[in-house]
Amino acid sequence: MSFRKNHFHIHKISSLVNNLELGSECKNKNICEFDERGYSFEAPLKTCVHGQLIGVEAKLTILAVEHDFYSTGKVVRVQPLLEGTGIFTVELYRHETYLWKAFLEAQNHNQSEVEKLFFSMRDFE
Amino acid sequence: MKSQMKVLIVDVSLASMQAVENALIKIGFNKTNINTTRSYFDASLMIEQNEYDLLVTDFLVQGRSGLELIQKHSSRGVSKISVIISANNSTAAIAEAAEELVDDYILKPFLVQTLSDRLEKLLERKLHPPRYIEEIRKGKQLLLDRNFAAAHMQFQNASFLDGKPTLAHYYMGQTSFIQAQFEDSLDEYRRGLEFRPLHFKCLTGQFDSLVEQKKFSEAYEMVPQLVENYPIGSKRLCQLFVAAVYAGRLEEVTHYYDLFLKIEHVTPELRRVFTAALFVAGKFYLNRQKLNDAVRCFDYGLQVVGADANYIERVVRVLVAQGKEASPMALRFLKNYPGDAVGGSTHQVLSYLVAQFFKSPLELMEMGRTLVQKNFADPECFKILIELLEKEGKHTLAEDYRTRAQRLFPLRDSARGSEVL
Repeated sequence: MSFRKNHFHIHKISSLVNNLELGSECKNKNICEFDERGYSFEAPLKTCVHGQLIGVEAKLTILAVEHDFYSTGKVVRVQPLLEGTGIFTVELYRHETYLWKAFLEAQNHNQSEVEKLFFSMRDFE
Repeated sequence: MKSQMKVLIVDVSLASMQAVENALIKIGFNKTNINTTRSYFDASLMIEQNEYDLLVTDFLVQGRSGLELIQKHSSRGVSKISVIISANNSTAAIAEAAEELVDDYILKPFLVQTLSDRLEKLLERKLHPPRYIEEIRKGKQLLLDRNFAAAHMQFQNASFLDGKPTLAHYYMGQTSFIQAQFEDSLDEYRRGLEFRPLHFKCLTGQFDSLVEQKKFSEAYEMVPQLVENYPIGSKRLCQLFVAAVYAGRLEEVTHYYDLFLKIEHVTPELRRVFTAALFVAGKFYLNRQKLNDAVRCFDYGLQVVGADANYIERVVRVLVAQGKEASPMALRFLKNYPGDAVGGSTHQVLSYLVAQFFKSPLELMEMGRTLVQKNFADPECFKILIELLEKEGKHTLAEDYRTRAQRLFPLRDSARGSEVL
């Protein structure tokens, strides 16, 4: 048995200024971190720049139910990594707030269920 | 303290690795003490060559189990801390991590604050434990150093520090278990369960002690309690199959097929053990003339192990031995023979064994002769061929093949076809 999964799969990133697609390598990218204000993902450094306004088409899976999720946002941080990639942190502007809130709650719920199960089997040693 | 701690982060995702590093720095770790790698092999080597205090790893790293890295890390001292950060949220994975004494399990993707909060909480717990846990840890170190008498004493002393000292009893049980004093270990686990009747470690400790004592029926009696209350990981499931077979509860082996399907990271060992258990269960049904139940077991086995030539050979042979009624099933299993091995010597032999129920005597004699010419024929093939020749009145030829068979298989006894050979 698994807890019902939550995913954020990025399908397309485009510039809000000219609608051009940015970084075709970004298809099917998972985010690594998120909070109520936005999320971070790994992509080649050339994908976008700090301060850029972007539109992101994604599939948001909340407790195993998939939703289309379009959001606009601003790249507020670019942290270079090895091999020409970086972590891009996006601050959300326009998006379906109820979906984003549901995603946050669902992942929080899963984490707390994992914690309950884990510590029922494993004492705090 | 945290700034002095050495950390190894193992993750194939650079972004996750960086996020964990950021979170650790945020809560006071020193960047220069944090090492990272995406390679399982490098991680294994780095653990051997360095004294890391904290290991953060994904559940799977390049197809290998992060839990193996954790075992290696934990064996270096009881103060070692380990965390799994993974998108794998299957209960079986979580159960395996709990059994391997992982200190925390964090799901990906993580909330920014969650990661640093949980790591901070974990470190607080590990660095400033209550006295009871601190004393137990001292005992665990003694146990790791194989100073059993002192460890037992330490756990006993710890047991006076808590109103429900289940964990202390569990470790007293472990101290006896490691010394193969299984009756003593059972007593301690039972004492622990008096305080917390569903304590996972004491339940599994009790199960393990019974298995070690070969008290399979008693061990198997515990299975419902374990399965109903906790998810089961790969290793534990292997033991359940073994207990079911040795306890003679072969009818129940197939019940575990659903549990098996829920395990995301199936180890080769689990596949091997489950297939063997299903095969034994299938033979058990054949002995009771329950052909359909037997075939169900063999089918499950095929699902578990895939198109494995050895497995299919064993199934075909036992079905052929049942006679004509089971032959269509034998033929069906033979059709699953791996493509690259079709036409090979074993496949030709098995085809011949199955063909005895479908082909005409003439065709069978021709097939048999070809197998003998190619030196593929085994005693079963000779037996079929000789019987056929005798039936057709070709006694001289039959005698000739009998002589050849006796020369090729001189040590064959009554197990297979001796009455003919």
